[in-house]
Amino acid sequence: MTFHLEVISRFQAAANADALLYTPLNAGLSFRRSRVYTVDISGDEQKARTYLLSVLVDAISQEYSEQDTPILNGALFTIDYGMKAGALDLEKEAILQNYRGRGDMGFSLNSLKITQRVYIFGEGDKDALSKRFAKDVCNPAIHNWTIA
Amino acid sequence: MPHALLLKYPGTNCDAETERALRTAGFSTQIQPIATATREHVAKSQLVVLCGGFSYGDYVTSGRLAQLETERFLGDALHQHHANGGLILGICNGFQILTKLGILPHASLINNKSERFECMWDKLVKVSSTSPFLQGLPDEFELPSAHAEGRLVTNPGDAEKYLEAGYVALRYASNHNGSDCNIAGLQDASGRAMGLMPHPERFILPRHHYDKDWAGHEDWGWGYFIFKSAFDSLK
Repeated sequence: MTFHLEVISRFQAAANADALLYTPLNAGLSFRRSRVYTVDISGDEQKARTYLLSVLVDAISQEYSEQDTPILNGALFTIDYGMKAGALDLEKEAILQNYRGRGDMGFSLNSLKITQRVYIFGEGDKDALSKRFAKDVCNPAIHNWTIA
Repeated sequence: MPHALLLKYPGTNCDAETERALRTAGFSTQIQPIATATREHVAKSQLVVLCGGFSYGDYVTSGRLAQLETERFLGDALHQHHANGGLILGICNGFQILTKLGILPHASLINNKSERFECMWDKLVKVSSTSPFLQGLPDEFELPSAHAEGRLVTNPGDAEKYLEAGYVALRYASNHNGSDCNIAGLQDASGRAMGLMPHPERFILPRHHYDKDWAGHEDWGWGYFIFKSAFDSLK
């Protein structure tokens, strides 16, 4: 089965989106960030879910959604970006190292994909703005990204 | 001579100066990478220190992967050490790890309210009068801080309860990072485990202070007394 998890801070409010750009737009846009984990698992799904939630979510400071739809509504657009297949993803490796080191936990974690999701809020030309933000947020040498 | 064990994780970067501070206070020391740490290392130590840095790149949330790896390699050895009367000190990233390990009261340290890394000196107010780490310190003193994720947050109402119940060891006089109830350091019920965001190991000598004419103490900076107090309590 595929387990989707989007995790976002309870405490961080939307901030000025110009912080994401090399040159400010002064267009009144704001942004928030979340992380999206897509995990392919087999075996005991309940044990897998318990383990993943214990690793990936901080109960005090974060909230999460297990739906495959964005946790926030009303964004002008979102940018999902993650490491290319050949690029070293240290976060992924650290999580997998812990999983592998624990021995048999009753499930297998077959693949793990980590994506950062940037929500841009405000008004404007979605196509032009999303290209502008993707250009400054993502690094084509190491990142894949999609805009929605 | 009391022995201090410093656990080192990938990304820990304050172990050398923390070891120097511990030795200055009188401890024998050993820095041990977590992947080769054993229960025996913990058992022969009177003090376990988790020092500052960015363990595992602060991935997922700061301290989370270090917590998981500590549990994987050491099981409940730190809890046993604490139950047997040993001391545990967490500095900065070590504080973040201790909150996740459940050795300190339930709390999280998240991004500063400024959303920036902040490097500055903090004036601290000593709240705990019984902590073995704070006996040699005045009611107010300064220590340097350097962190991006030092804002202590709790479930609603818990920070106030911690204050009333004696779980707060230190508070900021000026709350730059947005911590609940200005909390800069927490301790457990016994006081034998303490975590704090500021870096005592960076203020061992008077010349470490930003004011070259600082005269708070003739021979030592305030950070020294955290290690020295721990040493004295174990003698």
